[in-house]
Amino acid sequence: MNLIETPLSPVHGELEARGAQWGRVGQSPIAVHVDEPRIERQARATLALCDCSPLSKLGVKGPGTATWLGEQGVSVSDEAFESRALADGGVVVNLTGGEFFAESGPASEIVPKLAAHLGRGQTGVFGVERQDATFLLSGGKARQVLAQVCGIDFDQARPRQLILTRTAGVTCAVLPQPESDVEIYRLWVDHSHGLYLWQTLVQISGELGGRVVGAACFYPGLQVS
Amino acid sequence: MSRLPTPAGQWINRDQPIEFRFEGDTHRGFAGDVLSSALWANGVRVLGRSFKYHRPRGIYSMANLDVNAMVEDVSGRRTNLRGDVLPIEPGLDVCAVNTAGGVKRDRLRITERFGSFMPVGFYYKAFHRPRSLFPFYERQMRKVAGLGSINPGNTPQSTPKEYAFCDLLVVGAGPAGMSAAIEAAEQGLRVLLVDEQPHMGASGAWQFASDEAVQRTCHDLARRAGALDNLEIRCGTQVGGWYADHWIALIDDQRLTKLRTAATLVATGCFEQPAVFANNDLPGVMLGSAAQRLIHLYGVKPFERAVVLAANSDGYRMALDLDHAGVDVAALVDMRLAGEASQWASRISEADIPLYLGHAVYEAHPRPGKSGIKAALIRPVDQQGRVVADGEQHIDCDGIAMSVGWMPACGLLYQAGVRFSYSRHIEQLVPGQLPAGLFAAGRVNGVFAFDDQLTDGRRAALEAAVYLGKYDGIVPKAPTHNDAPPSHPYPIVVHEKKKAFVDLDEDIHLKDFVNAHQEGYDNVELLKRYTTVGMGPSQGKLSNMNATRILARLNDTSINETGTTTSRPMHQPVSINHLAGRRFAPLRRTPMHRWHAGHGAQFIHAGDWLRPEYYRDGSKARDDCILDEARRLRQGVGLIDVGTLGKITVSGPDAVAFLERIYTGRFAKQPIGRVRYALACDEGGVIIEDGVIARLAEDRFYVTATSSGVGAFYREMQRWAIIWQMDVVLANVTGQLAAMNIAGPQSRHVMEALTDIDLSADAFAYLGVREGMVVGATATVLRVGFVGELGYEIHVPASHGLQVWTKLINAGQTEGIGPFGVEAQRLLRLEKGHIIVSQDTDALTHPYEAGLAWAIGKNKQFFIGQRSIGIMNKQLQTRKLVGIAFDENYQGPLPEECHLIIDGSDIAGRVTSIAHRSTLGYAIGLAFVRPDQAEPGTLLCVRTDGGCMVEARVAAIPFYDPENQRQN
Repeated sequence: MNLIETPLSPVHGELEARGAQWGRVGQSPIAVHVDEPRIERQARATLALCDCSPLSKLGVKGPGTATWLGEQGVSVSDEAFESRALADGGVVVNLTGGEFFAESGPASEIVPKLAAHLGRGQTGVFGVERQDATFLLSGGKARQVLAQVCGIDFDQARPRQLILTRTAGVTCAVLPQPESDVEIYRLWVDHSHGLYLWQTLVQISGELGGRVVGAACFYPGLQVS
Repeated sequence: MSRLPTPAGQWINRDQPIEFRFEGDTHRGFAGDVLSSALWANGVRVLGRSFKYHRPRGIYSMANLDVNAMVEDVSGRRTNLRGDVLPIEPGLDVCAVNTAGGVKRDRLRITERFGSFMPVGFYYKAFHRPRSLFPFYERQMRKVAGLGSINPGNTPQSTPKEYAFCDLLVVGAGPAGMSAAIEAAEQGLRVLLVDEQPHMGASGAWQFASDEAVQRTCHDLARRAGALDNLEIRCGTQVGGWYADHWIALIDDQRLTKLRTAATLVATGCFEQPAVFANNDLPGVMLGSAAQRLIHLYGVKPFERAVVLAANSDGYRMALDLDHAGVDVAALVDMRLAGEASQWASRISEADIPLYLGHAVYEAHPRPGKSGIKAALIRPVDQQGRVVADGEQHIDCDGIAMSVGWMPACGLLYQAGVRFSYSRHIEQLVPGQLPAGLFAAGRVNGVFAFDDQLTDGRRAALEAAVYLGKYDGIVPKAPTHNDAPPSHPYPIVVHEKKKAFVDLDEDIHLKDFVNAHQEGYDNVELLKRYTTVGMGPSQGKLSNMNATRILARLNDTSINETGTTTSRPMHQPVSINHLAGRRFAPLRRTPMHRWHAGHGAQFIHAGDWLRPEYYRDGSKARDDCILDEARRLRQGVGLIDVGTLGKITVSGPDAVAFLERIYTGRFAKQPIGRVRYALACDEGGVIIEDGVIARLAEDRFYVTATSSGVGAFYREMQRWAIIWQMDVVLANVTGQLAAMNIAGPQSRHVMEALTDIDLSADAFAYLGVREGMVVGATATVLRVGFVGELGYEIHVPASHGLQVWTKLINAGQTEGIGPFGVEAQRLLRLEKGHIIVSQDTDALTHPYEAGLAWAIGKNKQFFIGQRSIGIMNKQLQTRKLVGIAFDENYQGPLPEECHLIIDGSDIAGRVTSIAHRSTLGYAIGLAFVRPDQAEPGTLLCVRTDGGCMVEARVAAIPFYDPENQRQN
């Protein structure tokens, strides 16, 4: 039996076509650079779009999840749709109704650990497969892109609070990123809509002078392998 | 060229000359010019032809309030473009719409000779009999009275569409609007200030352009507005419409913006209104504001020698502007007997402009071909305001400029539900009670003096700030108008013989109103519809007020008693393409999409999904490719992407009880590791979903559903879970998982090398489910037989889908594996007699009709639809789903899905599925028939395309492998 496990982003092919330079997050290839780092850094401040789908994700749902996450050393918010940072650079969001969504940073430590512990006799905790695409939209013009695809007033949005909305006609979760030198929005969308939304965002960003950038723009520790 | 020296022409850049073409002639203008201004500067006076009589028309409002200058691209790309607001640009090549042979020699001008045979409503009377000829008449009328023509070959230009938000929208960047926006922003509101003109200032830029103090104030306001961070300014943006809850459509040349504002402040000003007199539509007759716009905004001298018709101080100011621009003002004709009481009268005297008090223009004398005017005929006005013949004077001129009154730009307020009343104090409509969150300021509010407009803007802004909780101080009262009325109560001069136009869009003249009134159309709404006044492209911006005045006089009533018509979006015409904006057409793709595309897949839309219908094989025909894919599976092994299948996890202590309630079947005793067919109905007993339920643990189930139905079905599940208060955890993981079905006699052999799951028949029997690893990915594998062969449905995380698929294809090469698409799958399941919910069922089908009684659990306490199904089962069944087959040697036409089963002269049923070719060698299908026709062997008559009747025979299903040997 030839075991190969290389999970792919739904937009892997798009980035391949752009000549991306690849690194790894866990076992997944991630586009570290798509352009010269200097150009990518400039774009990050004006308008940049980045695929971070390979970051590991986990959904847990059930009446015992908050307690279980606490037992695993993961601090979660009691507030609906509030997010907390994970120690590995990721984020965990309270989706309400006993449902939580976690995404690790590139170090990919916490989510794999949680996934490994799931199903070991705990009651009221059920795993939910999460293969969402993760896109980051950054820069001073990021709002202009969002204004064209979604009807949310981001002036009223709070950092760390997840917004469930529709972008370009598909269900999407948008998280305004806290503590950043530029405006950054993290978008999660169903894997099957990933390519469609990516292509839509690329088109609109392109019209506004934006660029596709690699994940090193947002996670400087990522290296080309 | 009739360009004026600077400072005239503040909107044009004389350093940027631009060449463009109109009606085949090349002209030159400047950046900032619009088509109308540039043509006028080049001495072109006939810019278009009228709608009905094809009379020559020139500049009238210079404010997009008329459609005299309406053009289309020679390329046919754009049509019905308004010359007043169409910027010239290099390469612009346009011609006037609605002409035959060009604007100068339009052959359709002959229609005016028959004008007396074409009063308003003539087509209602003349062309409705015989009815059969009406389409012919309609086509001919459209040809001669149309606007621009649409080129169906155009490729739509995608334009963005965006959302925006603010606390206060201020509409109109004139004195009142700027003042209001600044005040509101200084109170801490997020303000958006929009104006349809390309620059701020509005009337301040042209009406008061000669007043240095006003100009300083306007510049200061613009500077202050630009410096405020919480004040966004969008010029060149019109408010297309006001919708409930302050949803506003903003339209610029790039996009449609859907704005949500907490409050709206309307400072849209007024439209100057024309006087009605004979030949008042000829090129050279224009509004005074149009002449001022030409001078001050575009640096164009409107006339050489002008007669000014006035009824307010604005006319006097305009006459002086003309004088300063070098126009020989031959006469200032004031319709008022008392004339002007303000300082403007003495300034006119100082300028030696001849003043005719108590006079009106009776007629404009045309040049040959009506290409312009050569004189104005003026007559005195009596005490009742009617012109009299005594004292008639003939004044040579090439232009008549009118300033006789105003009408509030009230469209938005009307749309927001505001009612207007007529004020005799200013001879104008003024808004009544405003709804919550809506404010008005400036001239639209009946405040005309410049300083008063500034004050009124601040007042309205403070009211808005109070409403939005940002201000709790004192709000000043609105200023009142203290001068003479700015509008004449009846600027209409009757001419016994010649046409005096009221509505230039629709070519409606004064006599048309008199005739319509005589016919009984004495109500403003009826009159509007009969005469079509105000129903042209300008939507009555220059005609509704005069129409109301005329009707009031004809009825001998007041304007308030007469009433006014309302206004609906859009404020100005917007292209459909612009309204549509960028079209979002969400597509769902499975993780294997790229592989399919690279291997000849021909895609079809299945709901939001794109799925391979079949894979093209060289030059083979579609049907051959599909049949080959099916045969390959029957004989060896095939692989299909079923990632679109609905996938739901149901977990928790109440999972079993929940599923028992949702589905018709029984699941309480379903062993772990086993799969069962599941059928769901609604409360009416109608089949709404089907799939399989796999039990993974005591309290954990994996459920599949139809690709297109899963979204709605999942919501229904959630709803019931809440209603029943059950301890169950649901998750729709449809898009999170990839799924593929490897099927065929060789499928086990191909799979064996790629998984750690024991695939032996004993260990993993038909209708079993196992969790394990497939090609290194965590997988849930189901033994199901939708296509009627040994097969494994493999569900893996979406990010692993492509890898698993590719490995399966590679591993199956020696067995001749190949992909198969949706069509082959539909054929194979049909051979097996499996139904597809929503294709073989409809919105009334219950399980007994569909032959699915076996899927109903006996002696269940409850499931959704149970009671209805029980009732229907006791009633006489009216139809039944059966298999149909055609003889192997049959060569005639075959039916399609939905073709009818005919029995005598009755419809006895319909075909629900059909395969013209199958691996069995003959055509097969499923059909609803009457129960008495359901016996195998019964001959059915099917009506095919063109009414051809063919015979099919009822056949037992499944057609293929009735003993179910192959899937075990």
